[in-house]
Amino acid sequence: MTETKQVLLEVKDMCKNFGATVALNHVDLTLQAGEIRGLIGENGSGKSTVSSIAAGMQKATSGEMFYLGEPWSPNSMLEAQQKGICMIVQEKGTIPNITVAENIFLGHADMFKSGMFISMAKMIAEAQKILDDLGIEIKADEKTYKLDIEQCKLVEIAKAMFWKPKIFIVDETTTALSQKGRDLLYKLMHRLSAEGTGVMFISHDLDELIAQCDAVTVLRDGKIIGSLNRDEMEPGHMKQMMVGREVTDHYYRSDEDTYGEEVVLKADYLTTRRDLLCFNLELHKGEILGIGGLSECGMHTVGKALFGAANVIDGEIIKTGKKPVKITDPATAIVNGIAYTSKDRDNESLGLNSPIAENIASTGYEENKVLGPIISYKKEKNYVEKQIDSLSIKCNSEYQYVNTLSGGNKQKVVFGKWMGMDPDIMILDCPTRGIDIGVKVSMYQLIYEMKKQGKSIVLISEELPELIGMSDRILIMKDGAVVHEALRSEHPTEQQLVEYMI
Amino acid sequence: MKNTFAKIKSSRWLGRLLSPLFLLFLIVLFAILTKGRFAQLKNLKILIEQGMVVATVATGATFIYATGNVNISMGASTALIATLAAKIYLATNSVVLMIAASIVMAVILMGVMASLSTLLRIRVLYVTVVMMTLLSSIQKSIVGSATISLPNDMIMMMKSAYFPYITFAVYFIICLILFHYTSIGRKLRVLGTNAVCGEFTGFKMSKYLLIAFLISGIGVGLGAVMTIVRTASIGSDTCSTLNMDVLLALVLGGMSVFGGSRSHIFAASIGALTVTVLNNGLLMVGISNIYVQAIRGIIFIILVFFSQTRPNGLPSKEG
Repeated sequence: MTETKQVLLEVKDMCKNFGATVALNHVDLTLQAGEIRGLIGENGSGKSTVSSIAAGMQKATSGEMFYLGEPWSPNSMLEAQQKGICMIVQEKGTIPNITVAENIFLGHADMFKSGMFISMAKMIAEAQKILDDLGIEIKADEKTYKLDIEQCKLVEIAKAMFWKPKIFIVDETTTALSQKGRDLLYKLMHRLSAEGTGVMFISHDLDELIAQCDAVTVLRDGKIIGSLNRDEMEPGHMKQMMVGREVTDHYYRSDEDTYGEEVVLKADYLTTRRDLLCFNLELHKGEILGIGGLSECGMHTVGKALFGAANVIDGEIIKTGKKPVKITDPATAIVNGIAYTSKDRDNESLGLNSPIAENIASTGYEENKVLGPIISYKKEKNYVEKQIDSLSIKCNSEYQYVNTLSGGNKQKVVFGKWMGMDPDIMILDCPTRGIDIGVKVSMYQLIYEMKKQGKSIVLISEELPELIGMSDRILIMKDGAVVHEALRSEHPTEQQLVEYMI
Repeated sequence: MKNTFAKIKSSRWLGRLLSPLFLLFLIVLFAILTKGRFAQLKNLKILIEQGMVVATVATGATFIYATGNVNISMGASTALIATLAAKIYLATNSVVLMIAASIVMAVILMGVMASLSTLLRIRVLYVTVVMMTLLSSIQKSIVGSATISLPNDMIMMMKSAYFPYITFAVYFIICLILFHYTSIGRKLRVLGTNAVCGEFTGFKMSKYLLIAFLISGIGVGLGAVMTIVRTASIGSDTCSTLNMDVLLALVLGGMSVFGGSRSHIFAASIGALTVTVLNNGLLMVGISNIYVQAIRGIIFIILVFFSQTRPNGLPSKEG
């Protein structure tokens, strides 16, 4: 290899917006032949976005890409694959009800056409050759649903290999792999790089990145923060680059208020179908309890479980008080003054195809009754208008459809819906996700006011500054368990907390 | 401009006015095409009597459709219940027993359907597809090739007591109150808009689906008796177009087939009248029954296509 390596991929001034959310903010990136480049950054920093645009999964909002010197704008993953850009995705990328061979040649079955028919035998033989060559012990004629998640990932890797990729993108795949699978992948990455392929490696595991990569690029809030060469890579420094944003926390609360002794809600040895095993938690009166961690650490399940909406196998959620109540389903939770806003706002907390009024009124049927079961339209209107006014939801009228509102206003509708029933406990899962700063500030004020009124709040968030800024107590979770607890009085820093997350 | 558009879109009344206007348009159109024959008092009375059976069954069906579920066995259920009720009358000679049995049987039948769907975790649509075939074959095997005729004096007595009118009015008012003035209708609409959100607001789909089916069961029971009174005989083709009539009525009345917040109880009655006017008018103009069915199908598809509210899973024009 010569000193100046060939540039395989060049990304210039790329932006990507999802509605109001900016995922990529003028990103420049190059990938050279034969290098293994790590991409790191917090959740939502844009690392998966940039790589998936290059691999044809989505289109950029603006900016250019050049692949082997030519302008590059793939229309689909299949097109990118044929041209030599292959990506192993974070999610499961195989189809269960077909054979391994069919998955490997998905979308390209025509290659095995003889006359009118597709020769299965030829396809299976070819697939087996690829698998054997990579040292993957899977039979190509096996149905894919019989494989576990790790084997599925290996099938995806084999699928990518057939196309002799010029660029190989691995997006947080190693979390699904055992040590053996990881070694196989690492070996493959190095083999490809020796053959001149550029490898883009996305991972949360810093040790893994340091061990495997030639260089890493750090992203934060959709911007490139910087790149580190092999000799500059050091975990502490990398973490600092990942989270070390400008400290603009003046919109969080600034007090040192504490909270009551009384426990209002507790989880007792809670085990769910997914994520949690013997999980314990206590929420106190007037407390803002922050829960943080990486997205898949189980914290979102905790939120659902506390509301009675998770698939609980064992253990229980108790709303304490004079008469302790076991929370088994959302209906019981709501009757006992527990509210929940989901991270998946559009799908779980709102009726998009319905007016604001209908969404907000849905918690007030009991309160707005006038005579037996009869609901008063007038009382209901007041109930809705009170929330629209106090939260200053921007709308033409209360009959405006929710799907015409911006993300921030949608979230206000969700808040309005729950504030209407005046809950004692609010479980907020990523309440400021995809919301502009103005609405964020009003959400923070609202949360703090609720605390002052003696209400208890569980604040689940992927943003550490928010947790540090708002919480009385922070739990950091990893693999479904609490690994660290920090009190407000201890003034934890992002760097300290990240240590426990990764 | 865009703001005006948004206002029109969010206006609740415009959408609701369209259906009555369309009905009026059809009546005027057919009156002109038939040189006034269509609008004769005698014909209009027939229309209303025909329309009332559809309206009663469709009013009940509104509760099910509001949840975003489709029950396509409404016609087959009504036919079977009408057959059984007729047999019961012939065996007992008791009008009261016939009406009571009709309602009880229909409510039980609907309850079974809802429970099958929730217990077996099969979509309502699929349960009712099977039910439609099953109920229809049971009905045909009971009736056989003959027709069950009911005594004329009983029919005349019921007619002169305005049974169909009173029954429809009472049922309609009860449904109006349940759907628009109690939490039941609101909860059904919330579930229809977004089932997960509804569950997370404390409304159990299984519970409210059962309630919706039970309420609609009363409509099926009453509709069955009204069918007996209207036709005085039960054959293997009784209510054979009722199911499509109900479906078309709800859509023509301004409801979305996907349920949710645009559901309202008036849709059933206005739509039922529109469907009857359409059937009757087209025939009077001289269009063959085969083409009438085709025209109904085309209208249905067009209305579903333009239906405002679509569930999240379906592609939208905004992408």
